[in-house]
Amino acid sequence: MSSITDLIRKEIENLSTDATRTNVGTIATLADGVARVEGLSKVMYNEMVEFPNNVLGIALNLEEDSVGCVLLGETSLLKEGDEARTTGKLLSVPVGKGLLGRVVDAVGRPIDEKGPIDSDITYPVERIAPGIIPRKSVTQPLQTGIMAVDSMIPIGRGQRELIIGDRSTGKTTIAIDTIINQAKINKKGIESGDADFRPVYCIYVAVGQKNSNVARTIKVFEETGAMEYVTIVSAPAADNPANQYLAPYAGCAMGEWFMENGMDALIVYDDLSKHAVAYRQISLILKRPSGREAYPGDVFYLHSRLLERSARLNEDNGNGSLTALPIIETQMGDVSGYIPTNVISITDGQIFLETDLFNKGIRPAVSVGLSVSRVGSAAQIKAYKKVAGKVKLELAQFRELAAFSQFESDLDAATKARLDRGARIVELFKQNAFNPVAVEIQTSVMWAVQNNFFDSIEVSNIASSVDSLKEYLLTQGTEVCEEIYKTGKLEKETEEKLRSALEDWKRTQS
Amino acid sequence: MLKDSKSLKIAKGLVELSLNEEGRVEPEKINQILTELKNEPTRRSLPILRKFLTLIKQQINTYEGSLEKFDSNADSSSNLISDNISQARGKKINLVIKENKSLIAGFRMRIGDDVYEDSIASRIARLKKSLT
Repeated sequence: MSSITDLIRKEIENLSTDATRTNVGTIATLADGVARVEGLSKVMYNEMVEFPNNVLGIALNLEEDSVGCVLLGETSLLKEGDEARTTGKLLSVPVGKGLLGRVVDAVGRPIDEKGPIDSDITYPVERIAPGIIPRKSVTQPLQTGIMAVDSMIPIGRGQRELIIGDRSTGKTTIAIDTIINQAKINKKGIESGDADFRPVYCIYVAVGQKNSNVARTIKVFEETGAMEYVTIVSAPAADNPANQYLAPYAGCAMGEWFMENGMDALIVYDDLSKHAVAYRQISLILKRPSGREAYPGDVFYLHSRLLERSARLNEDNGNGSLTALPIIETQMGDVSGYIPTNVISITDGQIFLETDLFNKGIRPAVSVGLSVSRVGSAAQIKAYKKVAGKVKLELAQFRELAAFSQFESDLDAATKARLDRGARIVELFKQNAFNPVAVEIQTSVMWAVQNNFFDSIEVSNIASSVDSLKEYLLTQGTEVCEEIYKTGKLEKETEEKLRSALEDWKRTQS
Repeated sequence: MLKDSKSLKIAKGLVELSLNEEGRVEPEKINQILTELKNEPTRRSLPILRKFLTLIKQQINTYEGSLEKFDSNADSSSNLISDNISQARGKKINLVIKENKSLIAGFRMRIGDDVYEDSIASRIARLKKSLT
């Protein structure tokens, strides 16, 4: 009781008693979550505007005789003629480690009923991306735990890698797997007591999704123990378009705090197609001129200014990083759409998921030909690079040869060998959802394929054999796996140990 | 919002014509303009009139304001506030004094879009905000 009175007394003591000067205006029209306000002559672009009943708005259209404000709260509480006042502040969200394990809305308010956010630091939602000088090339890997990605399309810390594909092709699953894998790596690294270990904190931004989908994602994170490293920013489909527009920027501000304080963070924008749609809706209501597909002229800038905020900073600037995994949904596999081409050109590569592969049971349905990582190979660990260096080419050749071999009955030995190897790699890359694999296990399995350990196994039995090998390596081959994990290299001696372990495993198979 | 720059330009011109030498709106001049517009209507008359109204309101707000006080009975402080604000703005400001019991004590003054406030009600509101 005394603490409450102390708190009130302290607030009274700190309360400013000076006369205040505010700039006000009056709501002239109110429709579709946008208020047109007359007055507010001194309002700044993107400034928070206060309306009655604690409703906030953002000034997005500054015109000669009125101001267009998108409203962030309950618009039914407002009416024409209500007073709006400037706050002198840009929209800010809480940041820091207090947000880990929490679910917040687009303005950083908790929506998980776990009490207030334990953070007294705020960052503005809109910030200028780091310039050229504080940046550094991508050098450290960010393991997704998905063999098809880590081997062929490796991602580095600070990279922007787009996940693109039609609906229901496993885009969100790849992002969730990556987050689960970060949590697994974090736990292992912290347990090892390695002073140089750098955990990766994750932010998952859900834009325009069904609430049931967000609830399912939260459940997966909780069941896999990843939630303690994750912040979820949710602006579901039922939320107003202003919140859906702001959510990615709010999530990015939360990620930037980790980056600027010398830590590594990963942010998933799920998805930016719906983000662009929300922005289109706002722009049309604000009566801004529309262009292709009715998107406003600055829709490229909408995503470029967001994704440019992901970076790897150099040692002078804390050595932190923010990796971005934006997601884009295509229509009928068309990557030449307006928003897909925009985001493809902004990012440092893309993981393209194909519906046909997904329906054939090849999951994750990564298209080898259309997927690329422009900077990530520099960050791949040496051991993995050694065993997976040629796998992308082999798989691409396999897909091409497989198409031609349908018309050919008599194949030469070299072609047949390529087809056999390709079919085995395809089976090898099949992986269940929410089941990421550690990099040392991936390296060992890839080494086994490259050294013909799977050649005598029927293609239909590859998946079960891979599972058995992973199990064997986790129980019997821990020593060699530990060596690969610690050194990141595959020396001759390690290779001999691995060969011996694999021969042991092979004997158990026969 | 849709731009109608031509109507705005005409409305601005009409506002210029409505002002006297001191920059204040002359009701007689406004009446003249309105009569002219009525006698020779164009398809732009309505948007022009709307813009004209907005701009005239803005113009009046530059030299006319309101001063809300708990007790509207004039005292020396009202004149002092009026003199000070006129000096600060470099022109004579007419303040209409209104009674507002919800202020509890102090004043609230509005000139154009600017609101100056020093009242007990505003301090309580600030305290409430800091405690929530």
